[in-house]
Amino acid sequence: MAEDVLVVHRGLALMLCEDAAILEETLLAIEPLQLHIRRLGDRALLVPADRVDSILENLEREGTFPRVVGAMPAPSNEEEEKADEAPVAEEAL
Amino acid sequence: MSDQRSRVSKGPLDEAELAAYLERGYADASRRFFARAWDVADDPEAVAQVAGQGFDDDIDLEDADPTVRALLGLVAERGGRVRGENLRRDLLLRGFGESRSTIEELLTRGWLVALPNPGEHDCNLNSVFEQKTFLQRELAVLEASFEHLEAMSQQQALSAPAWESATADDNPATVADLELNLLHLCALIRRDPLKLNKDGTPNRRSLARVARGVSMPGSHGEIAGDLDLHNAEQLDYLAFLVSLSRELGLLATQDSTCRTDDDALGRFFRSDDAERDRRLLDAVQRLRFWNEIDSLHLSRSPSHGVDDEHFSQSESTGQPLIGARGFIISVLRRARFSDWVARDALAQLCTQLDRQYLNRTLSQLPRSPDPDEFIHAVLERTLVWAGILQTGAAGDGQALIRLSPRGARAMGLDHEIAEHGDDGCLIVQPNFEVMVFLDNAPASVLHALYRVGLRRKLSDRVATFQLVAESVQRGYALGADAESLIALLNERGHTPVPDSVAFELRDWERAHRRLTIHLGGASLRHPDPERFDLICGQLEHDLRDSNEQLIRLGARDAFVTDADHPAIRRAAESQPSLQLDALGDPARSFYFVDPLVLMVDPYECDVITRVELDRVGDLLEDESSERNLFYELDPDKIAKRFPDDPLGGICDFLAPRCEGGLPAAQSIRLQAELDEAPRFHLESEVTVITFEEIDTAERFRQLGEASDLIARRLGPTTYAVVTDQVPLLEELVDELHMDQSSTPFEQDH
Repeated sequence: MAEDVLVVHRGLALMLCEDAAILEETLLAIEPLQLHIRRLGDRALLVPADRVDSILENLEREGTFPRVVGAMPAPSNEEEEKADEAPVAEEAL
Repeated sequence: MSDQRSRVSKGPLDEAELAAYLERGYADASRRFFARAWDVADDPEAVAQVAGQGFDDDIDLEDADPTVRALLGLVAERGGRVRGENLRRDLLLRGFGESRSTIEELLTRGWLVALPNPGEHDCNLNSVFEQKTFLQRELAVLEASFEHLEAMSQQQALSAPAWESATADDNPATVADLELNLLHLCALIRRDPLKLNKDGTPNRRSLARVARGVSMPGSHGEIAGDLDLHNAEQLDYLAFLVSLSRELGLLATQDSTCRTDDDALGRFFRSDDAERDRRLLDAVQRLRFWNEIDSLHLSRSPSHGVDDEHFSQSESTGQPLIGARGFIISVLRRARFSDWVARDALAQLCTQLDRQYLNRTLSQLPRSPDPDEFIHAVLERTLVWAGILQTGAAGDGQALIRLSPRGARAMGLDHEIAEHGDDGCLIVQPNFEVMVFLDNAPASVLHALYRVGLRRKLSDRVATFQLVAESVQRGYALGADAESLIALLNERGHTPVPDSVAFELRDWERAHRRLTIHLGGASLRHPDPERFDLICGQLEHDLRDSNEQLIRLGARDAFVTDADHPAIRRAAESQPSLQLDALGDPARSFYFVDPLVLMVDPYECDVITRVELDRVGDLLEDESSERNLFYELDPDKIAKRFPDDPLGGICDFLAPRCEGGLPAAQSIRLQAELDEAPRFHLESEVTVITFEEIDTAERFRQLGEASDLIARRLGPTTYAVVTDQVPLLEELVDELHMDQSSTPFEQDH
């Protein structure tokens, strides 16, 4: 743990604001969602990508229609493997 | 050669072709049949000559009934040769009913000739009549008879009525109208998702918000103020639209809500017209959540009504009818009619072709609908509402049906539809209104306008859209951009886009871009800024030729817009790294150092974990450093964070984040803090008896004295003995000759 490691954190969406005021407005709009947010400086937020739909819904309710680029990340291999394994587990039971 | 040439002939049967058939094609019995019918010598040459010269008892229409006149008129219209099935079908569609016996009579007279099938060498016409297979053959008139028919046709002695006096119903429903309704419905549901009740029926208030702009089939202009969702026919049509949208993939239901799938909507309306027609017909056939039988009942007696399940988007009342609908559509394809046909005749054709199939399919359904009723429901309701068929009336009032041009195209039949030109179809006004002339507007233009505008009005063939900041920015969020939009409006506009409108469209885009959300990327962190700078530099270099980018977010943080880019993998492999996934299992980053106190490395901590830690504990700032954060779990915060089940909630949060799961000591302490403290009783000087065998232990339990002896069973072979009863126990084991072991048994069986 003491070693300096490069941490690659997938499954996150980056919300990049034009300025700090937009970021504050954005935070206010999505506050009711009680999200897991990591704030980076005064322009950027990292949020779990699977919450983007509810974020957009809240923002649109406030009249903000952000630009969305990129595609939703595919489920991780582990999840896919779990999904594949599920029926086998049921059979075993 | 002459034989081969004759097999691909068209038109009436001439002498050479008949001679070739007599030589190789017809059996001798057929030649004798012709000689007898035409009253000539039974000689191949003499028989063949009849084709060119005619015969004494040739076609005479003086006493002929209308069916014979129509039949011969159709043969003349088709150039003297027609397939038997098609002749029968066309007569049926033109209202002459079943004509099999008339055809057989003309064949017997020799007015018509049933030809050998390609490759057939011994066609025996007697067998053909016996087996009634003449409809599966080409039927031709003789060349001499054909000239006679043509002369009669010019004198109007023949009649093959084609409903020339037919008139179409006013304002027939068209595919274009249906598409406009689908676009409108999906555009409004995009803004305000359609709520469904528990039984799957659309919530009426929610439906009312999206339904006002829909136009009913056969009426121009929107329902608007006439919307009445207690009107069964309006509700029925809206259920049809919602169901059709779902089959096309334009709407999707989730959690009792219908939402617009914008990608699917864009793909559908940007595809070419023929492809859309094909998909539309396919979706109409596959309708699962609406059925035409109940729908027709509603229109005939709205006061009686039908069950609510007809309107339900969760009851697949239409699904059992998919096969039967497909059958009727295939009949329409095979009928290949290009003009008006009698509605009842068309329905009759559907039953005549394969009645057994419909009877069998429909009889298996819960309510066993009547086949005739079902056919009429598909023809008059489903396909008319879809704009595939159009209804009309003959001069004598007989109900007629024809394929609409786009209906014919959807069926893959010949059609006369001109391609949309690039002519103007809209006017952008300085007040941000866009007037669209629907007759010239391609669906892709309408889709683009629905994406960025609000449709305010729909009058006769003109729709008016309003561009406002919110609607345009919503459109930009869905993929539109200012330059493309302005280019489209200029290209399709009768006048250039006013400067003020173009300025605002660009300004709204600037506002829209003030917040950008990048999906599918990866966040990068490294505690050493200098090292991280080098890593980022290498990544920027690796990404320079792709569309992806690295966004620096401070000295220790960056974001790469594609999480799966090979450059990230290379960076992670070239040095010590840790992979986290916010959508996968959390990293094991918690280390308990004291009761309810844990240590975590902030750099190895995923976002969810970090945020949750603040919600369930307090940071011990004095003990913490940049690389090692110490948190003390706070029972009050935990109770607030997981109000329903504090102990379960916190254990579920901690367990996957600790190597080897949540330590038992921590979970007992948490139980003590969050639930009742675990209670225990300490007892000393206890007598315990252990047996070597389970069977013996069981027998011991069944002794009559057992209830007095046993205080508690401690395991399969072990019992705690009531202290006061030890003398009784000793007496008992002695009496039973049991052997006491001086050492404990190795294991409890």
